[in-house]
Amino acid sequence: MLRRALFASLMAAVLSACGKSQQEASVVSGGKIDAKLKELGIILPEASTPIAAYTPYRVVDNLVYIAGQGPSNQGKLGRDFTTEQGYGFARDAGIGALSQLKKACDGDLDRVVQCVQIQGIVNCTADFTEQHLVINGCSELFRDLFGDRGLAARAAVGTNSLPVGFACEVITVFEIRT
Amino acid sequence: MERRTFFAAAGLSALAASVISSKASAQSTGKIDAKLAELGVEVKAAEAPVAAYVGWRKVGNLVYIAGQIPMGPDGLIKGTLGKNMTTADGYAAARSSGINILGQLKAACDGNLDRVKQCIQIQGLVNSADDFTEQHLVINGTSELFRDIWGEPGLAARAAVGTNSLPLGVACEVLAIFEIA
Repeated sequence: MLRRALFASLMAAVLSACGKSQQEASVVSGGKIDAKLKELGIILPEASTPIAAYTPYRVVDNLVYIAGQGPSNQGKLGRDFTTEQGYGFARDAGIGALSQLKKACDGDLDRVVQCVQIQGIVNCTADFTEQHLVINGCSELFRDLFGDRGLAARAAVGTNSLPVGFACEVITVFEIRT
Repeated sequence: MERRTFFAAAGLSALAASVISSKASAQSTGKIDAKLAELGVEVKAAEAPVAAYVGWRKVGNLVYIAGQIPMGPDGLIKGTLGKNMTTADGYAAARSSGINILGQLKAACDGNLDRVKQCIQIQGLVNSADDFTEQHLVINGTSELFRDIWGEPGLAARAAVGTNSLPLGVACEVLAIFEIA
């Protein structure tokens, strides 16, 4: 709820700063990956708007660099949340990354060749050591969606704090067909 | 709770994966292998990932290496810099992470490290107490290893940062990107 309000105001600020309204949702394609998403019961939300001075993704040749995505949950693993809750948050963050990726692919997720890199950062206490199990929430989502091509060269790490108190943040790089 | 069972299983498989490593990639006897021998560095077979990921991804001429953690004679090197480890201990841990990176890189190069053109990026994360500020000296353990092997091209655009915690309590984790031929 807090996040919703925060984002509403941030979004308004960002939108006015950009001087344009948020772009319409990516074109819906009837591709294989869309079918897989449906099978997994995942409805991709509108790609989120940046909450500060950055762009949600960059495409350079066949690589898409996606900005850090967070879930709608604030708090710390090892204090406020269990590892399994964190797993769900990392999955949500992964869904956020997919929304950006879909936009970067002009709506066609079938253009995704592979997930190259995932950096997963977990907001946690100093004695929490299951960051890798938390970030599996994102990794296993991509694996379920893209198969082995969805597995990335990955790093899962902890931190003592994240923007707006996010429980985790995932940064991803994908290879796509141009 | 289904998830709970899953996590118990995931934990077990992670442990299993960390002790069972796949066989070494094909041995080559190139210049870099000779250099490694000269430096007394033994590159072991790439460690199997401990969770749902791969050790490396190749895209075009770039190789992205997954975050590598340090291994000592008694298993994982665990600890927190500024609390129960010195900068020198951390340097050795970062060097160990670097050697594990070489294992992944060698697999990505089909066993031939002579294909490496340059190290592009290193991100080194150091498990640190709040008042520890020598992360850059710790991550030199990786950087200087790569420099000693490849010379100037082994030096990366690098970031060394601290964190309050890392998976399994390890002392550091290092990610790298290389250009290969």
